[in-house]
Amino acid sequence: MVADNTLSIRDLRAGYASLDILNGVTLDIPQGQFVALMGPNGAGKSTLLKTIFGMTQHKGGNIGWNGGDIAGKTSRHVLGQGISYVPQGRCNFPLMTVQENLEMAAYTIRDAGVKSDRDYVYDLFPALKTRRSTLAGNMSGGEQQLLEVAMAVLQRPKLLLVDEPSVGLSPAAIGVVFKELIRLQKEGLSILLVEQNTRKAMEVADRAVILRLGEVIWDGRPADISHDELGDLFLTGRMRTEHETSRHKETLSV
Amino acid sequence: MMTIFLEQILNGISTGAVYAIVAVGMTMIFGVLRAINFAHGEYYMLGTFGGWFVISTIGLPYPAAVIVGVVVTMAIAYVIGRFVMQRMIGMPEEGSVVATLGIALILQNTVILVFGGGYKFFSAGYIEPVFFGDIGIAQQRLLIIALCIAVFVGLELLVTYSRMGKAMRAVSQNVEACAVVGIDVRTVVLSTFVLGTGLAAFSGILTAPVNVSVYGGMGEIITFKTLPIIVMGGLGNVRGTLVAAMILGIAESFVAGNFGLQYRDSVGFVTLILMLLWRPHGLFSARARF
Ligand SMILES: Nc1ncnc2c1ncn2[C@@H]1O[C@H](COP(=O)(O)OP(=O)(O)OP(=O)(O)O)[C@@H](O)[C@H]1O
Ligand SMILES: [Mg+2]
Repeated sequence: MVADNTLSIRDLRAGYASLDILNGVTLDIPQGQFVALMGPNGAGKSTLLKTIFGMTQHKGGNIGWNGGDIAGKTSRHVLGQGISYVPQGRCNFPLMTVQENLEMAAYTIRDAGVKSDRDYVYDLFPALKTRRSTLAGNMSGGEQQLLEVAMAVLQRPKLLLVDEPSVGLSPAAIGVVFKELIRLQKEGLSILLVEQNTRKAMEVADRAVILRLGEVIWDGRPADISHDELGDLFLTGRMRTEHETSRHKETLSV
Repeated sequence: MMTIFLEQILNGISTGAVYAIVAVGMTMIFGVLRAINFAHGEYYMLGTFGGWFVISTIGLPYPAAVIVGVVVTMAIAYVIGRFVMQRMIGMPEEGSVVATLGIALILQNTVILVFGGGYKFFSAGYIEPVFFGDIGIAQQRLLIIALCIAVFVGLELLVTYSRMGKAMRAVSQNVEACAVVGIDVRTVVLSTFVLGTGLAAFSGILTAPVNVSVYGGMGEIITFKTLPIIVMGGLGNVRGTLVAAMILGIAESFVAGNFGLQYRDSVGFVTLILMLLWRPHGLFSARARF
């Protein structure tokens, strides 16, 4: 059977213990697509990523991948299937050096390529190379974010789940991270990116998906939605009607 | 005068070495589980009993008895690890306190049921003294110090270079990051637990020739001496544990020698109280973990 590297999420319901957060999410991510997942705080964006990566309570629906269903499987299983995850916030080994963190990233990969992969990552992120013997926890937030993206790259994923990589990064570092994501996509990787910086996200993504209260409320090409419309969707869950828009303009002009 | 002082220091170091070997296991288990193993002294007791049993029944030589005691204890710990300790991952503290105290009671009373509650005599090991000038010390005590150094060098190598050792450090630092890189936390917790209890057993049989008496309740006092050590060393900190164990061992030796044996066991409790009041995170930086 030909491995199908489209992620197909069907009516996915998940949450934490008795808490339901995702209320039937349906979403396809074809191979090589760069999808930006957006939505207000608490919409369930991180929960969706965590659920794909097997870190929440699965309550129904499925996640098709590689010809199987990975819904409710363990993180290790999902990782083994070629899906890597960069969580929101700090997620590294703070009392290990950068080099050791990169070694740990390839924990499940036991072949000779690991070392050359690491050299490659150092070339990609020279900032990490100069800090290879620094404890991860002693680096700036931005450097740690770079490290975490690098760790995911070392896992040679086919699909990368990235949760708000730009938080706390300088504009230059954001540039590096996004450039790297685009480059990975060009190599055939699928990317599901959660990003608060909607402008940046719309710029790099092929497709925007908007989540609100655990449901997909909009799915389309970034070019098909304006920033004002996006703001409305975040706030109210729907676009303003013509009537509302004109009234809004009147209010503003008074 | 000087001779007595030096002897007290040497004896203190060898007592410290015993404490260090038992405590480092407890601190590593804390590192991966974030739970105090209140049954830790019972594995020290099990190891000692295992050694005593094969010596007194089939007359096994001491080195073989050490191996039997450690291996039997690790086998028992493996079962307890599978059925109890692995379930403690991510569990609130109350659960682990009750669970490990329960295990302590079960192990202690099972041993008393099987072997009786009386004191047993441990007659093996190398108790003849050696002299450096006027200073005399039992060979066994020197052996303990040498093996303690070996254990700590070995642990340092393990957590720095081996795959499992690195995973142990990883689990102690960030469980979520472990999931992200595919480390199986359950296996790491089990391995650390079996290793840590094996070290407790090792410590028990190493001291047995010096302590001589073996009884079902002997683990309790060890657990309560280990507590101040791992707090002083900084919970989860391997090197800190070695230093803290030496401090306690030497302090006990001085108190016993100069104020009377009856005060010796209070040193640990006083230390624990002072530490919790003064530096609950231990003597060393909270960041210097293993
Ligand atoms: N571990 C958890 N246990 C219980 N509830 C949780 C947990 N994590 C998140 N939640 C809840 O799930 C809901 C969705 O959270 P989630 O983190 O998925 O939102 P988000 O869209 O990523 O928001 P943000 O933009 O703030 O990161 C929130 O109401 C949150 O309180
Ligand atoms: Mg989030």
